[in-house]
Amino acid sequence: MEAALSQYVLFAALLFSVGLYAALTRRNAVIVLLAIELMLAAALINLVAFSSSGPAILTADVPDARPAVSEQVFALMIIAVAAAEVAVGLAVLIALYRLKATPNVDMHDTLKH
Amino acid sequence: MAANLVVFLIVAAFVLIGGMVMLTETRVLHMAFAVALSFLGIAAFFFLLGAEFLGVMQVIVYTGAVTTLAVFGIMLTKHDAEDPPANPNRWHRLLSLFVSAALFAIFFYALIRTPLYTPVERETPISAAEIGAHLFSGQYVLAFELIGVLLLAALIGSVVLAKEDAPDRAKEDRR
Repeated sequence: MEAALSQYVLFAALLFSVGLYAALTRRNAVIVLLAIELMLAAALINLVAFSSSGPAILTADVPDARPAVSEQVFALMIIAVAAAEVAVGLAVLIALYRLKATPNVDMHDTLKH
Repeated sequence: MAANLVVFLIVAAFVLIGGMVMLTETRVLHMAFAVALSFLGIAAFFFLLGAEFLGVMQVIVYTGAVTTLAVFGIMLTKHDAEDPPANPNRWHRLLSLFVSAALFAIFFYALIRTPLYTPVERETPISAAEIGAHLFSGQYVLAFELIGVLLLAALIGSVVLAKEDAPDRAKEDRR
């Protein structure tokens, strides 16, 4: 039995939730950034899973079960954007660290006051 | 094809172990490596799904570049080796747990309400050449160029953001 499409989607949802919990509770800014990356990668799993199983809902007019290339192109672009995001995020983090010498996100609450 | 399901479960366990270690570990660097394990597992998923090119890209970009950048970020910032143990108020953690669990419940509900069929027959996996041909087919070539511009902007922007402020350096020079 093949691992079904819904298993991949369910696992991606679980991984997304784990990433969200980590992003909300961890306090080191780098780890928060990594947790957000984990959520992004979980979303990527969905895209690739839908790509490899062809049209998700097979109807009479879409009977073709061929893997779709477009989703993989999307996923490729998301990976590129994620790389750019991490670079900028870490640069912001270094700049913040220079402002207030701690990587603890709870300490960076200037906008709150 | 029982092997596929077994491999899926093993890889899923690896990814979840990575996530759980990140949640329970107290040392920051260990957390980063746990996330790297999760990223590797996700790449294994891509291979399992027949997206070989994306799997390699995942290993290079996420496991290679993102984790390395994060480790640099951890080492460049002075931190206590341990993440501060727990948030001062427990309500924050409980609320976070509730939000994540509620989100997963919503996903789960939506998933069981949606009919998803796995097609019976699978074609050969998509090759890198096919992705490349699709990328330059005219439909996506503009997006491809824009991604290049975005990466350049991110490169310049991160350098500008992370470099030391000019006044500070002038002050140090005077000293």
